[in-house]
Amino acid sequence: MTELSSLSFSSPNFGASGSVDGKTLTIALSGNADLGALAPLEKVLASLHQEAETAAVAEVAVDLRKLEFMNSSCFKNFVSWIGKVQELDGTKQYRIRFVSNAEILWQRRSLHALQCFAAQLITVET
Amino acid sequence: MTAGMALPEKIVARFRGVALERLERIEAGWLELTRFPDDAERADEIRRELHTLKGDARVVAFAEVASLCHKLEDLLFFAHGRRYQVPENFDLVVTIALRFIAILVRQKDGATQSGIDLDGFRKQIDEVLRDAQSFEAPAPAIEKTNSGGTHPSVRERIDRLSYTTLHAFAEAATAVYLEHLLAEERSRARLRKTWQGLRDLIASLQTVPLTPDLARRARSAVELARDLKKKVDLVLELEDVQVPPAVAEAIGTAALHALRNAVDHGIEPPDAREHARKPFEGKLHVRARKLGETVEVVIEDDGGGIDLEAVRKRAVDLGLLPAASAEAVPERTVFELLFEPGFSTHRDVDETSGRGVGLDAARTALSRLGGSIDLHTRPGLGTTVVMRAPLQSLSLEVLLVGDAAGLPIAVPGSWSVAEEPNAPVAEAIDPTAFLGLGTGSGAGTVLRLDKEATVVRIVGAPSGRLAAERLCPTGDYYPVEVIRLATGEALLLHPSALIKPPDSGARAA
Repeated sequence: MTELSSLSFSSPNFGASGSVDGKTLTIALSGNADLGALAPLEKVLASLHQEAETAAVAEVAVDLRKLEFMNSSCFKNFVSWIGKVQELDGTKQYRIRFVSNAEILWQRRSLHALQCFAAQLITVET
Repeated sequence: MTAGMALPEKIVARFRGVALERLERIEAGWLELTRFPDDAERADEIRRELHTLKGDARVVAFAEVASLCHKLEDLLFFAHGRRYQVPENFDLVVTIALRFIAILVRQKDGATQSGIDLDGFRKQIDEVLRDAQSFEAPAPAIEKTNSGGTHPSVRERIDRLSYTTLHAFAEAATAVYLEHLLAEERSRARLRKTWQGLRDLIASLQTVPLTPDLARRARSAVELARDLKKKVDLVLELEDVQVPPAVAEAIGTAALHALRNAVDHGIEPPDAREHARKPFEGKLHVRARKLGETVEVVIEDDGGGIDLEAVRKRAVDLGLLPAASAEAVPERTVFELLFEPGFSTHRDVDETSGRGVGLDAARTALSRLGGSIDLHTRPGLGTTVVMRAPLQSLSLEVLLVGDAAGLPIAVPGSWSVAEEPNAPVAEAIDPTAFLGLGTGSGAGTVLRLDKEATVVRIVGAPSGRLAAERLCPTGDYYPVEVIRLATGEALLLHPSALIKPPDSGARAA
C-alpha cells in the first residue's frame, strides 16, 4: 500500500488521506466538510481523479465513515467528479465505492441520490 | 421516444442548445436564491425558465426531460414556499436533478442512458420532499406555544445530526457530570450548571415539535377542500408535544392520509350536506395530546362516515369475505379490511367512501414504532381516526448494586444479578475505581451480571429494584450514564461496556 501525499489534507475540522493498493485507490475523509472544506475538497478530488487515471485503478473507495457532515456545496464536488469519470472513455472509467455510516442520515440520503446519477459506476457500502 | 427522432435534427439541435442555456440560468438562479431568498424577480425567472423548458421538451418529445422538469418544479415550488431555506440534501437533489436533465438533453432522444437510474431518482425526490415537509421550521405563531428552554435554531437542523453525534454529546455531558462529583465546591457548582445545560440541549435535540407539521398538513387539507368546492371549518386543538423524529414522520404520514380522506371522501359537498340537513360547512377537528408515554392524534370529521355495506361488498368481490356469510361478519372485522394493503386501490374509492386509501401505509408507519391507528365511524355523521405512538421512553427499571462518590450505582433491570460470595473480589471490576471516582472501598461481594451471552463480574451489594428516569442516555457501549431515582440522581452502569476501560474523557480526573 502506498500513501498518496497529493490526497492528504489536514485542518482542525476536516481531513483527507489517500493510498493506493494494487487496483484500488482509497481516500478517507473525516471531520466536517462545511464551507471551510470546499476549496481543499475540490483540490483533493481533482488530484484523486488524476491519480486514479495515472495508476489506472479499477476502483476508487471513498471512506466516509468518519465524516460527520458534508454540506451540499462540498457534495456537488462529488457530482462534478463523477461527471468527469462518466466522460472518460469506457476502458478508462473506474468504479466508485462509497463506504458509509448508515447511522448518519445525510450519508444515506445523499449517497442514494448520487448513486442514481451513475448506477453502474457507483456502489454504496454500509 | 421515437416521436422526437421524427423531428428535423435542426429543431432538436436548437432545442438542445436553448435547453442547456436555460439549465445554466436555472442553476445560477437557484444558487442566488439560496443566498438571497427575497429576490422575487429571480424566483419568477427560474420558474418561467423551467416551465418553458418543460414545454419545449414535450414539443420535441423528450418525455423524460419533461417528466424530470415537472419533478424539479415540485422541488422549486416547495423551496419557494419556505423562502429557499431548505435542508442540505434538498439543495443537493435540486443540483443533481439539473445535471440529470442536462445529460438527458444531450442524449440522442432525451431518453435515459444506461447507468442512470431515473426512476430511483424520482423516488429520491419524493423522499426528500417528504423529509423536508416533516422537518420544516415551525411557523412563528405556533412556535410561541413551544415550551421554554429549547433551541429552535439548532432543532431546525436536527436532520443534520446523527445518533452518533448525539451519543457523543451525551458522553461528554456524562464526563462533565462525573467531573463535578469530585470537584471542589466552587467549580462543582459551575460544572453542575454546565452538565444541566448540556443535558437540556441534548434532550431538545432528540425530539421535534409535532404541532407545526400537523397544523400545516391540516391547513393543506382545507386548501384541498377548497379545490373540491367544499367548505370546511378547521378546528385545531394541538398541545405542544415533543416527539422523536421517527414518530413525527410516522404520524405525519398517517395524518396526511386521514386528512385527505376526510376532506376528499368524508365531508360531503355543500348541496349534499344541505340535503342531509347538516350545516353547510363541514367540520374537521384535529387534536394532539400527550397521554403518559404516548402521543395521541385524533382526526375527526362530520362527513358521511364509512359505508360499511360497500366495504363488505367490496371484500366479497375481492374474495376476502365469503358471500354467504358476509353480512354476519362483525363491524370490527370489516373495518380491519380497510387496512389490508391494496384493499381500496383496485376500485373507485367513492364506492367505499374512499376510507381505505393509504390506511395500510398509515398503519405500517405507526406499527413499525409500536403505535396504532383505529377508525370509528357513525353512518351519516362522520368518522374519527385515532392514532397513537409511543414517545421515546426514558423510563426503565434498575437494580441497585452499590454506591460511588456518594451516589447510588445501578444496572439495568434487564440484567440478572447473582451474588458469588466465594469469588475473589480482586478479580471483579470495582465500579468506583473503573469510573475514576475513587480507589474503591473493596467492600461488597462479587456480583455476577448476566445478560444473554455476556457475563460481567463487579464488586457491589444488591439492594432492590427501582424505577428510574434516564436523564442523558448514552449508548450501551459507554460505561455509564446519569439517571434519576425517586430519591435523587444515580449512576447507571452499562455492564457490557465495563469489560474494557472507558475513554479518558469519561473518567473524572
